[in-house]
Amino acid sequence: MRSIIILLLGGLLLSNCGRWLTEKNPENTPTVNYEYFYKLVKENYSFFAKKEVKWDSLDQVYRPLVHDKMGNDSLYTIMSEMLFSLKDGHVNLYVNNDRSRNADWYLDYPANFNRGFVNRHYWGKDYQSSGALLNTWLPDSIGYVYYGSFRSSFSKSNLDYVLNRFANAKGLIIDVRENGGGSMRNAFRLAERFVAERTFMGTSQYKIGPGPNDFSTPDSIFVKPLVDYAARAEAAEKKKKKGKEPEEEEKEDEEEGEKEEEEKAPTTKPGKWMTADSTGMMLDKPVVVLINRHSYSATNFFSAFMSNIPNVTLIGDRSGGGGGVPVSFELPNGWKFRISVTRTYLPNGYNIEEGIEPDIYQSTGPEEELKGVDAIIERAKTFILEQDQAN
Amino acid sequence: MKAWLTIVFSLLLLPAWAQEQFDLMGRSEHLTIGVGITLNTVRDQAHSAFTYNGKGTRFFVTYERIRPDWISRMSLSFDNAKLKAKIKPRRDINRSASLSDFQFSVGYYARVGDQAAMDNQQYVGGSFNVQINSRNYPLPTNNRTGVMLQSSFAVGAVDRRTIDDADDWAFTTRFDLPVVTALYRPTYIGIPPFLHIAKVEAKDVISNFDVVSLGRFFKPTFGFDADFQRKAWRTDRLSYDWNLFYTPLPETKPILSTSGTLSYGFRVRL
Repeated sequence: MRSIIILLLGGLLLSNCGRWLTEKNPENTPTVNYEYFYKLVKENYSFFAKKEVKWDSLDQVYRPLVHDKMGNDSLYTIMSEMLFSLKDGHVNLYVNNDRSRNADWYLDYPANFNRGFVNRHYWGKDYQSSGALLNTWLPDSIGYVYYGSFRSSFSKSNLDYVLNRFANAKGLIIDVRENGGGSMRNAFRLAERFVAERTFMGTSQYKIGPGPNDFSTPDSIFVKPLVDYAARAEAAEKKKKKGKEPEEEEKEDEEEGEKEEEEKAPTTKPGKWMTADSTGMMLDKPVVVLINRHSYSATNFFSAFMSNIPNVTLIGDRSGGGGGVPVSFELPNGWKFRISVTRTYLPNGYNIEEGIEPDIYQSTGPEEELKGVDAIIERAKTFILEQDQAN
Repeated sequence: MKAWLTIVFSLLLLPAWAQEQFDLMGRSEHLTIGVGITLNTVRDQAHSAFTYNGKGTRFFVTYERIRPDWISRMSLSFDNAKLKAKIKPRRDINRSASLSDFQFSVGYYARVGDQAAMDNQQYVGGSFNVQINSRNYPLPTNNRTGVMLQSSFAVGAVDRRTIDDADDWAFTTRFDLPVVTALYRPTYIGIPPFLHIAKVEAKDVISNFDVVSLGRFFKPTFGFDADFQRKAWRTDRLSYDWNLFYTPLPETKPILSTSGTLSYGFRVRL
């Protein structure tokens, strides 16, 4: 009985030792909060070298200003100023009634997009909303899609519908200006309709340790086509040959040769763009992606993917960047902040944090609006018509 | 002590029927289904400077085979808890974190010591364990979720004895300690390497496991079971299970988590 009592008391002790084993919560003082903040950013931020920011130098400037009698506002100001120096739209400090930010990456540049104007002069009143994909015909049989935010999603059938709608278009404009980003998955789900085969899009790394060069080995980023026609055709061929005798196989090879010019079923090769295949792909038309400085984060990734596809052209201004994926941390006072912890490179080694250069620079603004045009859309239309004539 | 435990079981609203005389310590097979209350403590420096504490519930199923020379035990449990961090003075919305923990264990323990003793039995052996532990923190963006997957081989011991020499009461003490563990604790959740993979497959996860030993994954587990045999086919079990897990991986982001569970198990003889 004594041993039972001892064991039960041990159980009671154990139930409390969780609190004893874990350290006490850190003191909620400005100096402790600053120390956590400084260390977490130093160990996890991925772009110090790229942005030529010396975090320790900033620490030398700001740490002497931190003391335990300072108020929240002062501490917030110091931390915000340090984060501002990172010049990164994925870096924010969240407090009760505010969020620090650096929006210079688009505010310091021409807008190159006026939603109200584009709505009145291009979308009109009878555009369609297929999920988050606003779509309409432009004159001269050009398809147009506006995707305002990668946070907003679209179903597979939405995108099938949109691409099928423009089956006979001379080309397609995908306008992602002012799209500040969102879900990376949507970037993949959109890009996969425009690649003919598994396509290498670049590499990505993330911080795995506290040192400035502690990054993971590069992971390759691929976009696979939603419908891999080549693989399907190959699989169908293999399946067919598997069940045949050699003589039969020879005879069929001959017959196949005669049928080469005939159209095959849409499920085995794209051929011409057809509405018969409900899984929409667009592989053989000119596609133009419109970007501006506020095309950021997931939009930046989408632009990067599309820039690797031969029949896609980017028109507008350099995208805003945001090639680092952000993660969040919590400070002892309950404030939270997020910082970029990854870095991504195109196949040619270009760091997409700086934004994606368009193939054709084009700006638009009030002057063009007075003439009743969005010059970037007009340039895209002209480009598509030129491509159509050339073909 | 026996009287105190009897009161506890009486409060469980189950009739105290006449008990058949049966040897609880002898050869048998049992299936136990139970529910419990957990107390959890987590300090996960990958996400927060705070220690989060909270209560939750556990559901479990255990299968035991008891023989004179060995015991085998298979157990499945699922925990769910809400956790909060004490912040003084409060500077933010008082939001909760949540914890989910799934554990599977299968063990075999061989009899040691005086093999003839029926009221006092000791076993030594080992077990294979799988655990999936995830926590969701009130953070604004990616990295809200902490995940730990581990599968391990553990050494362990079991002590079974009667309570006050009664043959309808038994008390079991269990201990396990993983010595080799395949551990996966992603640095961040919500970012590459999975972000750019359209469909995450098992091989994507499995390839990221590290095999570590005690210094990199420490998880002692203690269990105490008090069994009261009501009928030949049925036993009531009151259990207390406690475990701690600690890993310093990934670097600079260690996690320490403890969980104590008081539970009731409805145990039937098969």
